Amino acid sequence: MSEPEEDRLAMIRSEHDRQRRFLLGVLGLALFLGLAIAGGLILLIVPASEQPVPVWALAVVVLTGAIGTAISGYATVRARADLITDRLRFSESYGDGLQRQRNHALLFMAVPMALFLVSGLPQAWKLASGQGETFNWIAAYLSIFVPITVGLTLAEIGTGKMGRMKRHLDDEMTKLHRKQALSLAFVAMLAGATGTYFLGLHHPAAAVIVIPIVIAGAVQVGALRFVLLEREAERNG
Amino acid sequence: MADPRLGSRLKEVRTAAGLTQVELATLAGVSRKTINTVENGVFVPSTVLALALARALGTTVEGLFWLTE
Repeated sequence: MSEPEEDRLAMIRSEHDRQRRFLLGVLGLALFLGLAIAGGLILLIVPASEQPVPVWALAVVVLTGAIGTAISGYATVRARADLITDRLRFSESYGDGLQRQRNHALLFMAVPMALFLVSGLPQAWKLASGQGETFNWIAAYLSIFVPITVGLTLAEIGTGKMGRMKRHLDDEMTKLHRKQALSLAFVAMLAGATGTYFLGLHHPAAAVIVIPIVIAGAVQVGALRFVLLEREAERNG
Repeated sequence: MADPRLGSRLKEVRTAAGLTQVELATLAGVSRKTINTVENGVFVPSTVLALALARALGTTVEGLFWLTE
């Protein structure tokens, strides 16, 4: 077998291994999140029925959550180490690999952002109408938390002490793309804020509900623009 | 962004040096796509990057870039 063919097969095997570890990581994380939500519901529902929270129930939730986190953490670290090794071996620099991961994360964050918006907005509507309990507040906060996180990631804010990693994520081309993407996100935010203002003049409660949608939409427009610019530069220059 | 006044022989010098885009990117401490865009005239490098590229290729900035007018 020729050397390029061996390299190609090795790359495919390595990619399959990495995907298996990634899947394991996702399963572990799903296990952790599912149990965390179950634990939260136990804490909310049981006190309402004036029953003490069973210690065994909490122990099961905490223990299984810890196992899920450990599986997820182990698989993520292994998959990431393999990915970096592969990129170096198969002609991609460390910086390129990091940037690719960051861009995938930016796109992937659209999923939790949409989920939290869908689940949080009805709760925010209840609160804006003068009703609501602890759960409503948490869901309403989460609906705005994810878009803000994506916006900060896009703007590279909060990564000041990442050292070498920041240098690779922040090269000249990327800075220019970020500037262009943030400009577009700002225009989208401006348009959305203007619309929300006029809506608020007629229906103040509705305007409150629309604000997270405007922020999420503007941030997603910026993130999409950024990823597209990066891909374009990678393919055609 | 692109500037028609900038001439570049980066690709020519890089290939003459026997380097790939990835290798030059690693030497200059930037991503491959930055090298790609500079070579294709899509992106005008800063003074610092131009100096880093010149050093990585063992030449001067004038040996890589010049003004066409």
